This record gives sequence, structure tokens and C-alpha cells, in this order.
Amino acid sequence: MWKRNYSRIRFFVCLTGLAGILSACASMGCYEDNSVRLQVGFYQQSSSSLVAIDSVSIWGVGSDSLLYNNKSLQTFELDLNPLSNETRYVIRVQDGLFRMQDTLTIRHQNQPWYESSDCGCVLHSSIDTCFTSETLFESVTIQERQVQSNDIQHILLNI
Amino acid sequence: MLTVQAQEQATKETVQTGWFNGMTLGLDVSGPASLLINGSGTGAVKMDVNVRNKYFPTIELGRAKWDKTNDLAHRFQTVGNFAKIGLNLPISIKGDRAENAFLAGIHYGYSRFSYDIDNILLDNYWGSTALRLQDETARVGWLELSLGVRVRAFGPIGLGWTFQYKRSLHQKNGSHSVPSYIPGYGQNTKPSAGIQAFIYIPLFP
Repeated sequence: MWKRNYSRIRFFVCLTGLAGILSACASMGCYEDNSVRLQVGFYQQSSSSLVAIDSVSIWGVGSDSLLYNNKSLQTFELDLNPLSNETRYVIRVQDGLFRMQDTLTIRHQNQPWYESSDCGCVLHSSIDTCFTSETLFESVTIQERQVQSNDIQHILLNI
Repeated sequence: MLTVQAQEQATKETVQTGWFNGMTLGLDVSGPASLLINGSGTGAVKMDVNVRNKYFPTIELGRAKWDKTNDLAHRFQTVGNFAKIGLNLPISIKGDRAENAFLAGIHYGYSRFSYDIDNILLDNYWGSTALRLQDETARVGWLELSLGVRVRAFGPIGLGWTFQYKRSLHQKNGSHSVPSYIPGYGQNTKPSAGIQAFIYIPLFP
């Protein structure tokens, strides 16, 4: 009789222990900024390195709000347009009295990703092609076509 | 007198040691009640086989409907089926056919379902955009640990409840989303817990 009860108690204790282990791996809520943006860098081909440029202003074509206003930038982030497969930004550099500007065009496919009711939705994208008007930058290099993480440099603007 | 008692004892032991000690049909009553009250809930039927009054292999089939809007105004809708299979073991038992029992169990659950998520707002530099994801399909398998009691209440009919502790083992999400709710599992959190009330009807007693 005791042996039979002992095996039942042992089964119950094992289940309780397993429940405890599973609880220890419980996931947390959404506590991070989960927006994904295009990561861009200024790249000097002669030195094969990222370079900082002073007095940079950036805004979207068709938008009247500045994303960056006279900032010194080496790398920066851009939002892709969720309602279009083409996003265009004007990049202007002020150097004393001289002002130069270029237009960066990114053609992309949008893939919205709904993570959870806490974290909401993020826009993942896939870059098809990328080019500039070549007044300020010589060319564009696509380093990573999948825009799904902020931890990687997606495109480089070659000076 | 001693002879009669011995015969009764012998009969009782024959019942207890036979490998097949009947089957019990369980009808979920808490899920349909929730469905009536707030429009979201689960309906389930489970069957267990009493093997030597020691082992209770069980199978459960159900259907769940979920239509909820969260604090961010995202609306999640699904109607899907699920199945569970597992084994219950008695912690404490009373009656030759486990009419009154306190059971602990381990089960595997599985659901394949489609769902819609509506009114998702996406905010960035280009403004606010409302999105709708339709006909997303997901598959989820989970482990379920349970504790429950059942007691004979009205003649052969029994009543009982089961507390369930669940954790997903494998999950294939929709093409653009992670489902917020999984039929049979509940809200898509790790872990998840639930409680169900059942009416038990003995079969082949």
C-alpha cells in the first residue's frame, strides 16, 4: 500500500518540479523598442572606412519634417515607407557657404511582422535596388538586403 | 458470515485487477459558458480509459472561438480545432471504477488554425498606417501538466475540474505574424495556465 502511494507521490513531485522548471523559462513582456530601420553609413572608398560628415540634414521627399537637422553623422537610420515600394530621402550637406544635396532612392518590398499584442507590428523590408542622384555620392553599396534588424549596416553611401 | 465476506472481497479484487475498468466521457462546461457570456471560449470532449484503476490514458478533442480586441485596439479573431492526448495517474482514488479521484496528468496538445488580425497600427516617419492580416495559418504543439478532481454527484454522473499548466514545444507562425491566441492552449504566452470544469459520464461501467 505504502509502495503504491509512494509512486503516486513521486509522480506528483516530478510534475511539480517540471512545472517549476518550465516557469523559470517564462518569457517577459515587450520591453524593447522593436522598430526596424534602414541602417546607413557614409563610406570613404579611398580609406575603406566609415567617415563622419558635418552639418548633414535629411528629410523625406514629400515630407516637410526634418529627420536630421545639421548633425554630424557617420551612420544614421531611415524609416522606409510602409505604403509604398519606393522611399526617397534628400541628404544635404552644408560646408560654409557651399551647400550640396543628393537624393537617395530605395526600392523595396514591405513585409509587416506582427510580433505580439504587447509589441505590436514592425515593418520588415527587402531591398530591391538603391541609387542616388550622384551629385554628392559616387555610388551605393547594398550590404544586407533584408531589413529585419538594427544591428547590421544595410547600405553604404560611397564618397 | 466469514464465507460471504470472503466472496465479496474476492469479487471486489476481481473488479480492481481487471485491466479494463470502464471508460469515462468528459464534457467541458466552462468553455461553452464563457462562449455564451463574452463570445470567446472553448468546447471540448474528452474520453479516458480506466486501466486497472491505476492508469488513465486520455484523448480530448475541442474547438475554440476567440474574438478579442486588446488595449492597442488590435482585433484578433480565430476559430480552430485542437486535440490532446496523454496519461492521467491517480494521486488519490476512491471507488472500484475511480468514481472519486484526484488525478495528475501529462498531455501533448496540438492545433492547426487560421486567424485574422485587424486594425494594426504601424507608426514611423511616414505617418500612421492601419494594416489587416487575413488568413494567417499557424501550427502549435504544447506540453500540458494537469491536476484535477472528479467526484460522483448525481447517480453515475460526476463533476470535476482540471487545472492545466501549459508550455508550447514547437510553433510555426503565420507568414506575417505570431498568433496571440492558440485554440486549446489559450493566450500565446510561455507558460500558459487554464482551468476547465467537466461533467463526467461513465461509459461501459
